[in-house]
Amino acid sequence: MAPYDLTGYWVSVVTEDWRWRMTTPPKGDYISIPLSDEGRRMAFAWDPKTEGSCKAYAAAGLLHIPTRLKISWQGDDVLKVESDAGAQTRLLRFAQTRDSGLGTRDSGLGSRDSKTDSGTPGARSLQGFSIAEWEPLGPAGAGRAGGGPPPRALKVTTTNLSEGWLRKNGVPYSNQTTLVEHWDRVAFPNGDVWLTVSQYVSDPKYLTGDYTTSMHFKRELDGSKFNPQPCRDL
Amino acid sequence: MFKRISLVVLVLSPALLAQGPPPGPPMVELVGSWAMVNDEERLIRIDPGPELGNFTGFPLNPAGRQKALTWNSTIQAIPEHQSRPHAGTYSMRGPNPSPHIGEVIDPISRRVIAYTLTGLFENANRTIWLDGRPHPSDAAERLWTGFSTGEWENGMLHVTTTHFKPMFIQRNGIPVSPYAVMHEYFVRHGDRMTLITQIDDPVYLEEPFVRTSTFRWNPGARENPITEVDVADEIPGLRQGDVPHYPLGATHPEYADDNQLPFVATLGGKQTLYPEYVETLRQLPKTVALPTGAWSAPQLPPAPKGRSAKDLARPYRPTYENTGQVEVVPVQGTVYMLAGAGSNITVDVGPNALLVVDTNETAMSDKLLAAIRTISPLPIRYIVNTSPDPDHVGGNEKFAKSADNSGANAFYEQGARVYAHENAYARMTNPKNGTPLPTSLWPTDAFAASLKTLFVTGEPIEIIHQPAAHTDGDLMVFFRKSDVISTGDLFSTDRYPVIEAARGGSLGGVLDSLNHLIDIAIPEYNSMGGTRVIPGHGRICNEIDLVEYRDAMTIIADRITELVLDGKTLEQVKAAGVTLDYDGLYGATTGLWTTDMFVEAVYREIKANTAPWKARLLRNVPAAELTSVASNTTAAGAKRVAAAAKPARKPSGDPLEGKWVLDLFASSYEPSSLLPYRREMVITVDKEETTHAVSSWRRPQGNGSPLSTYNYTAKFDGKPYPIPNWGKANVTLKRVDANTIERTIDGAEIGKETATWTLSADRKTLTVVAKGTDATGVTYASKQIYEKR
Repeated sequence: MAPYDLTGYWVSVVTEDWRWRMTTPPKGDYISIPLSDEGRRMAFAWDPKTEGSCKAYAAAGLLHIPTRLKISWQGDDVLKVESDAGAQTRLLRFAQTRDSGLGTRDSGLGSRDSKTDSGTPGARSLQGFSIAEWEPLGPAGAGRAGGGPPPRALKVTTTNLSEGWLRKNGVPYSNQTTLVEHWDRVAFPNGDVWLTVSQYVSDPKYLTGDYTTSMHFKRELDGSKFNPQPCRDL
Repeated sequence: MFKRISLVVLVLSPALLAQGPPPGPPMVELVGSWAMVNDEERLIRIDPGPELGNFTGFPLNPAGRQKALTWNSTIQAIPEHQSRPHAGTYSMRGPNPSPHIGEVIDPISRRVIAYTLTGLFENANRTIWLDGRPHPSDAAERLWTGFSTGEWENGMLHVTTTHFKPMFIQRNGIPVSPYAVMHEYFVRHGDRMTLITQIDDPVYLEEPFVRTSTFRWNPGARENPITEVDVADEIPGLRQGDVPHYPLGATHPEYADDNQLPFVATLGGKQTLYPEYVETLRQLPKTVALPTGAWSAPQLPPAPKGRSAKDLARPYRPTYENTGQVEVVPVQGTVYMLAGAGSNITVDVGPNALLVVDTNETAMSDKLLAAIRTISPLPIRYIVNTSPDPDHVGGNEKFAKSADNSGANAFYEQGARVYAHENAYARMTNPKNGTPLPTSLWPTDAFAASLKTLFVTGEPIEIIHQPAAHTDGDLMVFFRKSDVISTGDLFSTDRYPVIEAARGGSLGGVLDSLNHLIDIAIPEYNSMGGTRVIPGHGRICNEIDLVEYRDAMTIIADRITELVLDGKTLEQVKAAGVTLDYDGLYGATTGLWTTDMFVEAVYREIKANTAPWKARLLRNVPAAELTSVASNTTAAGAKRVAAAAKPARKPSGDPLEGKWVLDLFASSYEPSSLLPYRREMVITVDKEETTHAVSSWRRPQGNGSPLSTYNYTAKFDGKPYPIPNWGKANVTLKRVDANTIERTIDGAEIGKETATWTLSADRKTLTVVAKGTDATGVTYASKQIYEKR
């Protein structure tokens, strides 16, 4: 049984890094990103004519881009995340059997504990291969005060990525990148429901350390504004 | 005592003790040290800080935008604004917070009853109560940290914070009101923690503002030592009451210009936050023009009945009307405040008697006296009336006769002494218009001096007359040992100053009284606590609240002054929105004192005697920002207007000519600390002679003022020409060819530099390769890439 329901429609609300997300920054503007020398060289080599390339919509950059998301279940074990910006699809696979002790498969939320292996990595791709799991909150290995089942949250680890961009101006990440994400859902007292995705990008080639960001999406009542627009497949 | 201990042992049986505390809601361990991860908005969160005019990412409403655009960072240098910590709305976001989360454990139950958040900027450390206690009343003091309660929800700590002092969400003037409510979720994932924050503030925001921050587990980190920031004289020639700000209509387009953004996009607003705006951005013109409209302050909902976090989940604006319920609020020392009856009452408890400041309305006397008896049974022997208003003196008779004073001495048999200024006494007993108050309400002791002192409650008390403010008979009362000031209607937190011009009142007097109060009030370190202030209406305050109110009234007066000087009518002044950014805090459209009445009173006062207001305006607002005023007032203004009136010079066609802006990302400096955060050059060429003006910005908090500027005029003949006011330096220029210039600068106070300027083939890029030695012998070099604008 999943602790919370992520399905539905969500919209980016860009209150952070606005200039770098709402517009395409100038070439070489990699401020805030811990680029290596090689990464900087690549960033300065970016050709502005390639603006709009699908590389900007690859897994480690996709959620930075102002977009709407449609999240749904694909079968029992795969959470499907579609963006209208760039018309991309990420598949979050609950690949390992887990005995959560939290209840039945069908929670009534439309979400499940994974029971089977949901795929194999295959060829490298823009969206890579994502493994999802409901991970206990808190420090690693800790129990919780008061007993009972530990609260859990969605952790996604993505590998098998092809090269992509962290920003629309070609700030690169390599095919050696690992992307770890925590997907949380909170409901504020005014009734607004938010999805937040905290991302940690590790790239031994173009980054000198983890690149850490967190994006937030507000829940929308329906998909009337979800309007997929393809990226440029250069 | 011994018996009590035995009883406890009997009740707590071994079986119960073995069970430990009963299970609580699911919680995860948050205790320990955390470090901020700054991979988002690094430039804004640390140095150089947010630029003036950069409001991107904020759902500002028109009032919030007006307040932000008229904010001048110079205000942070005046003494009463120095040493402020960041409010709870910003302290977890601003420069490098390294919070340590600790626990407060109940000594008996051993339960965690609170978390502490320490290590925040200038020690505005927070406590998050987990024991279900209610939030304070509306009469309570508001704090930089606010008041926080927390509860666990699905393994996430949900914190609700109210009771902020007015502050900002971002340190370039983006405001947050004291009525904002902040919700936070602390979510721990292994060694990372995500903090999800929602700030709900309809006073300045179109919709709740949400942002997320990430922290990294940082075991072993030590907190910074407590910093007590000393207040220093930073602005030469500053006078009491000076409030630096920008005028209405200020735009600050530099951020938009530097980043080639449409100006209107940099002003924030709800619509700018959503994906649709990406396309809108492409179509927006680059013109610099502020949005226009007839805006009004949003109406906040009424106060809820309860005080739990759930009750206070949404903002509201306290009214401080008479609720019929009296609340006793301990203030400081021996001083208490009685709230809830409309106007506030101050009670000072001495060893033998009580002194009361103001007595509210007649109908409330019994309830108020009953409340006073819960503080002390001692008799009320001294009463001070701060003004002649019925809601301040209506209880005089019942209060004065409330205690059995017979036998104390001859005077007391008549009841308590009631002090008032003689002007107030005259208004009560023999008004020029209207009828006098009943004789039973008249003060017994009127005085004419500017200061009356007493020592009747175990502490020195100053009763200070403030002429021509709310009326001409206003008093404030300063309890020197308790360190509390009772202001009467010289200061209220919920309304614009009530200026009774017909009874000798004036805004000028109100500002004088506020500045006087600010002089008396001394906060503890970092603008917290210290002298407490009981306003005529509203909540308990300290110096900071006085300063905010003084600033607001000064700024409004300056705006009206400028419009008066510009020949605007009263209706035009009202339509200009001179109070828009303060109406959500003080404005009213109904009742005895509306915003319109306040603006009209101020307009008439300034119109009747403009000269002192004009002088005040010119101290507070940069002259160059005041087009109509400055043109006939200051030399700088006259020069600027004259320059504007001069016919535009015909361009020479030289490719060097124009405005050049440094590309920060393509340029490099050695040492890198020399990199400015902004640099512009304007070059004009007239045959063999060129004029070159350079502005470099390095100021960390970006107030739009260049840190350094110089300009000179020289010929391309290799001969030295002086650079005025620039380190006694000379410059030589030599034109190698149409696209190449060689320049040297040599000055005793700045050292020597040589540079080669090279224009690109398309003449859109100017590359300056420079190297030099400064006056101390340190070498430097740079490759500066400029783009033509």
